[in-house]
Amino acid sequence: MSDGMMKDKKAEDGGQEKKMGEGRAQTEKMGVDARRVEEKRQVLLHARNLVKEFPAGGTRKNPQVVHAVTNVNLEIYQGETLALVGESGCGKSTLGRVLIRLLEPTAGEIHYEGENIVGMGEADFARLRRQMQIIFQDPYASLNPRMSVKEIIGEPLITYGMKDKGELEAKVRELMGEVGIAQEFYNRYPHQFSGGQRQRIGIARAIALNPKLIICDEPVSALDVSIQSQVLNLLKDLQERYGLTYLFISHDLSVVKFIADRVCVMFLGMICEIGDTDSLYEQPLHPYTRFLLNAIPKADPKLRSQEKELLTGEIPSPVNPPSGCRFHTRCPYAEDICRQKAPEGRMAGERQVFCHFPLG
Amino acid sequence: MSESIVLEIRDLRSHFFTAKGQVPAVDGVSIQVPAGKIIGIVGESGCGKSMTFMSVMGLLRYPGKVVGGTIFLDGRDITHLKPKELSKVRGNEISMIFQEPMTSLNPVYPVGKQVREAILLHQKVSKKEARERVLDIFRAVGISEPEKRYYSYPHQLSGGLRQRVMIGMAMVCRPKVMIADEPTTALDVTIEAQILRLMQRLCREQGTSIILITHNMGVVAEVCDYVYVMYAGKVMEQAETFALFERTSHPYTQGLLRSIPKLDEKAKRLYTIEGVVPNLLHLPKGCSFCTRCGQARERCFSERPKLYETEDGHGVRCFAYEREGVFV
Amino acid sequence: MEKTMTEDKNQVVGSEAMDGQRDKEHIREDLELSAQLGESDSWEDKLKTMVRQNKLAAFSAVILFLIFLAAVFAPVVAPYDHLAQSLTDRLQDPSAAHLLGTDELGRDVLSRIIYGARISLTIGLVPTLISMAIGTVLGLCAGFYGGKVDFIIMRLADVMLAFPSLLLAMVVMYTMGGGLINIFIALSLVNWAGTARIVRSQTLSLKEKEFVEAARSIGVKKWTIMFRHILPNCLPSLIVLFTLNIPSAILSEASLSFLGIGAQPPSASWGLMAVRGKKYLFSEPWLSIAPSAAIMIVVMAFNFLGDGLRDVLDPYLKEQ
Repeated sequence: MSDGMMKDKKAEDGGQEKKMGEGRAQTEKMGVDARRVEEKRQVLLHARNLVKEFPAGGTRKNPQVVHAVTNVNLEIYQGETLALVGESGCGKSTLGRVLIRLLEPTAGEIHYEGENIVGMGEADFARLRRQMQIIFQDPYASLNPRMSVKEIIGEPLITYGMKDKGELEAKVRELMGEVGIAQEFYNRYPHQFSGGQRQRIGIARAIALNPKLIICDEPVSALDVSIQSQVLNLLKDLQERYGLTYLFISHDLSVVKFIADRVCVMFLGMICEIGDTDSLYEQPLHPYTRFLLNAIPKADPKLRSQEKELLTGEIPSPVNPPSGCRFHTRCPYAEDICRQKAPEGRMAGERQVFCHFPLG
Repeated sequence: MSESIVLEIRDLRSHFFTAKGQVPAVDGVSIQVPAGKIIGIVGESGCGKSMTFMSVMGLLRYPGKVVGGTIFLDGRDITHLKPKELSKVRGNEISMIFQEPMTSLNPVYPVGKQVREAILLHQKVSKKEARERVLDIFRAVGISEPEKRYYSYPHQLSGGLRQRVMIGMAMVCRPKVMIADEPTTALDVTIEAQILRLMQRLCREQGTSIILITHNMGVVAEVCDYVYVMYAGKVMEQAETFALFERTSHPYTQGLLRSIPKLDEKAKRLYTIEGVVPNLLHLPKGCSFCTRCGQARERCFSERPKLYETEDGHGVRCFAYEREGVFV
Repeated sequence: MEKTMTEDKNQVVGSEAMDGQRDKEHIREDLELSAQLGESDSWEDKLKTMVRQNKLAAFSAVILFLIFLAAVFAPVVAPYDHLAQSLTDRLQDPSAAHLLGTDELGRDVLSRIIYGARISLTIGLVPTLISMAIGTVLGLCAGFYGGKVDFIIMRLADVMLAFPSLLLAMVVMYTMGGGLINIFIALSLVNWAGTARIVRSQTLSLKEKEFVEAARSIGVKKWTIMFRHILPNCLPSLIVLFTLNIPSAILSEASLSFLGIGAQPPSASWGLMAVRGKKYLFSEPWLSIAPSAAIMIVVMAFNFLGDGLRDVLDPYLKEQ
């Protein structure tokens, strides 16, 4: 049965490649952006009123919860890179894990290719699980130190029924080549690799099952600058080759600018603003987005003299988030309504902003 | 340079004695820190930037060992001080803060008391006076409600506040030099910007020189006056910040700057420096960057370049700049 | 009180605080450095480090190896048959013929001690292995499944730990009678709880690791995650625990034999020899001292080796 499955999968892949090959000539004519716009039409994953809360102690009478993700509505389109940005504790990593059901949501629905995967039985979900993979931040923690490269990359293949030793080795070696790990490292263990190489191994493991959606959870923030650019390029290449969809979680706005088609800014479990990367960077609509962009240290001392507006204060606790708009305690433009009422999403062209008094 | 030099490191060498051989983690580093300036030390992990200053602070421990060079603090040679004498200097004249403030604070004491003890340790003042000093410092480093925070335990504070406490503790005795090892790496961008601004202000107001060890070129561009770029235990390029970014000379620095994604342009691919940082045990015979350098010539593989001065205060360790004469 | 606190604090705030920091920074830098050097922390390398840094542990390992060899080749090494009685030679002082003298039945004490090593080492290894296997599986299940499974297993472990294990072993021995096999069973049954606790706590922290999350995201089965991802990462601690559990098993056997409910005569158990020599403690002290010294040497050697192994295999265990 499993063999049959593999064959089917292969045939499918072949077809896909062919299609991509045919499409390429066209694409070159139309330019990459045009192709992206075309692909954007198709929604791959769709979250509705998603809530995730964690118990945070408290007494039995008065239990406390961490409001990690509150009422999030989000669409991820086929073939795009959607970046999830925000400061630590804003719930971006939690959201990413909830979307592929590594964590079960407290409430809400997640539609993957039209099917609601929340509450779906484990056996049912198993066939979708292989289509959603994740790449982790810490290349030292994400690989089992007691497994060799061949075992790590081979594990997903074995889990989904690849039994033939020769076939397995061929596939693992192919994947290693795909991510730029030299063939002679086939039997090595993770501790013999540098951070960047480990991250490549993690990527190979994630693409082994030909997934459609990959959650990239801060995949480059633990890497050195020169290695970071290598990995980012690799991610872009793989996306092009396999038509992957990325949810790219990051706190680094320069990296996001490079890799993302659309950006979703989060603050304390809620979405502030969603929009396509260029226009969002050019003209942020939410005050928080503007402060974030202002705060990035820019690698050009000439920009130093411009006196920039800095955000004051600390991030409020997600256990007792502020009422109304959660950003109001740090927002210089906050008025009474911001303290009382959470803002509804407003559309501004293709963009959506959750603010009573959007900028611009 | 005409300014008075508070800290001078001359040809420092620190090696690691491992089972596989002697590793030159710091290999002939010379750094000068003028009074009241912010000096940036930038480089990738394992380039020896932290090790250099661990050596300066006398915090290097087996299998690491300082094997050569001299360190002058305010004109005084502190290289061969006994541990006891050195611990008097440490925290008083020169202090250090680290990336993760949580590990440097004792979790079972309120932060105010910890800072107070730092004062009592180095200065003869009453406990009451010391407490007042702590509150002053807390205000100076921008901790709101200092009276309340005085009694907070480290885990009750956010990362940004903890780092402020650490900076406060480091500044308590008005040291001449403060070494900050990746002080903002664990913080969020909005908090990072606050801390950087705080360090700038302290430097300006109190005249403390700050050595900022970082991997982030953005941070360097934002606050530093003078920059040293390190690679594989050596200084590859050193210059005033503006000069470094405008007339970037060393191929490594150039590559580093080009591989950072820019906010103001949409690139299809990022520039990359090929390969990985070389194994310090098996460094190339010539220039340590030659294996990754696009401009490497035959000579780069066989001979080690010296630091050449291209303009006043701008040094480059690359044969391409040899004609300009030897630096330092 | 106030004074001690201030003293503590001085250290904390002064350069000591930096020492602590230095350790942390060192671990970070060392990681970076070793990754960069492609330096492997393979088993051989770690053992080499131990030999270099901890001479006592290395020396203990050599001693244990020699004792092990002597036990295996006892018939070759021992100068006499350990059961051969010779009433004419009874209670002789140590001499060239009998290096450690003879006992009340004229048996050569040295030979008996060499043969006794067989019993002690077997008692040290076999029940420890069995009890640790039980403890490992239970600890893994408790940590991985949590909830009720965890509650039941750990309360059971608490009950086991609340009883003095020797007492429990005695109860088992009394009900089942003496003899080696019964010692095995008794010691296996009473000693699993400590292992279960340690494995459980390691499982709890390991199951939060990203590589376990990665396995879950692939859809790897629970048992595979437990035995392929979590268990191998507990191994270093288990090895350390193993070396540290062996001496306590040896001591338990000696105690049981000393109390007369362990090994039965004429077997050459060290505990049994010590108790039989008690009668002659003042006239022929070597009869008790020699077997006691043998117990002490083996137990200490295992403990030193265990400490040394812990330092290299499990540095974080020490830190905690």
